[in-house]
Amino acid sequence: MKRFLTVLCSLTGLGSAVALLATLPVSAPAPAENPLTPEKIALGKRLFFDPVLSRDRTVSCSSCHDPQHAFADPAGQAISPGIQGRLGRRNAISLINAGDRGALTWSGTSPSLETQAVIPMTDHAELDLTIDEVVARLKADNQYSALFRQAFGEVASMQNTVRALASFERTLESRNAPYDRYQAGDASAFTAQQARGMDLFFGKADCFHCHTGRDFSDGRAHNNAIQLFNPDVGLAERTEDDADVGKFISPSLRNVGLTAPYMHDGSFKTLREVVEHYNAGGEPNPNADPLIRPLGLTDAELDDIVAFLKTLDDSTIATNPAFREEK
Amino acid sequence: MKRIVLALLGFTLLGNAVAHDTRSAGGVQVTMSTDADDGLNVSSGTQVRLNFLHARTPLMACACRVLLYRGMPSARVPPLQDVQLTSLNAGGGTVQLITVPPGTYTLVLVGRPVQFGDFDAFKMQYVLQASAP
Repeated sequence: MKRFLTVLCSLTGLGSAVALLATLPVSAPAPAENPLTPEKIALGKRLFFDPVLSRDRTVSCSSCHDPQHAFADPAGQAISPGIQGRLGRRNAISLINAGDRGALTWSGTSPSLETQAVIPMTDHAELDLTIDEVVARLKADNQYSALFRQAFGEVASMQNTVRALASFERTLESRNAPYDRYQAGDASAFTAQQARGMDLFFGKADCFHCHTGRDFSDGRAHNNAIQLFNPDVGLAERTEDDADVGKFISPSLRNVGLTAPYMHDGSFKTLREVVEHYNAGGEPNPNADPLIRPLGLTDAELDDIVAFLKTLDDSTIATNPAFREEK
Repeated sequence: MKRIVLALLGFTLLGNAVAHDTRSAGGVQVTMSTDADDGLNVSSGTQVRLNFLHARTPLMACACRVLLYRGMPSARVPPLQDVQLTSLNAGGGTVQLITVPPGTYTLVLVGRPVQFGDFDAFKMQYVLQASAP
């Protein structure tokens, strides 16, 4: 009977599917052209933490996307340096649940994790390699050559490099914060102050218009009036539309307490500064979103909102071995 | 005859007063005038006079800003000038603008209450001409 079932499973492919499910971590949906496999995830994880992808082998993806800070910039850094201390323009966005987003980067330039992965590797201010250099470097490495064969059945290529990185990034899923437990019916997950803050977030403070959905982002670009004039044109670098100047994709608020500083340029050091900005009504930027206006929140109410925002933090991210570099 | 001249003079003055740009937003009525016949001077700076009424009484306080842009306001360029206007005297305030070359400009008035709830935040835009002498 057992032999019969084994034959049946192998004939239907069920056996391999069951085995795969048993070994794959919780992950965001993968595109048909890049299905998840344990081998790709393992290769992507190794590449993510390895400075081999930077010109002088000093900087890796994890240098700017630090697991200790929900895969956003390391503590206090508005903009993390690339090779030779070069600075880019923008704060690194958290990669937690990034696989569920439709518009990646602050200006929404990448529709998928695969296309996004090319940007930092080839950016002069970040890892600063050409595509040919990436491929040559990985092909010359015996360990990586073996890992690429295991994952893809062929030698290293840029396409497979970004597919492996995207596969690992799709496993960076986390929805185990006090907010999730509260939503699941555990009233003890919130303090009274945090509950008041949630009411303000979804009410008087109007935060939910842009920060909506299970990851608290509408995935759309807005000008949130943090500057009267912003030299970074944001979405307009893609659309070239004057009306899009200074618009940036609403970031997810998941783990926001772990990802300071804030905004596309990291100019706000604390969550308190962020909510004070919105409460004051922002700067009179010509493209400011009409929802940005004085809110009339009291100091106590601002404290309540900050307390609520911290319920979106999942403290297990920093200790999850699946998210840490393997030494 | 004297009465006719006085009447004509009165109509002329009234006409000028009515010509000043008066607008309402956020429950606040603002009348804007300049010392350059409601345009901008090109040989010297321009003084802008703003009179605020709220509920038909002079507005006593406003966290106002006056921005001057060349042409239409655009987020691609900073304003030529950004002036804070906080203290109002009997509902009136003045702003000294810089000397500008001939052209078309936009003055943006952004108003916010010092005390939340006194009035709704508002924004008004005025297109001003700076003509060569």
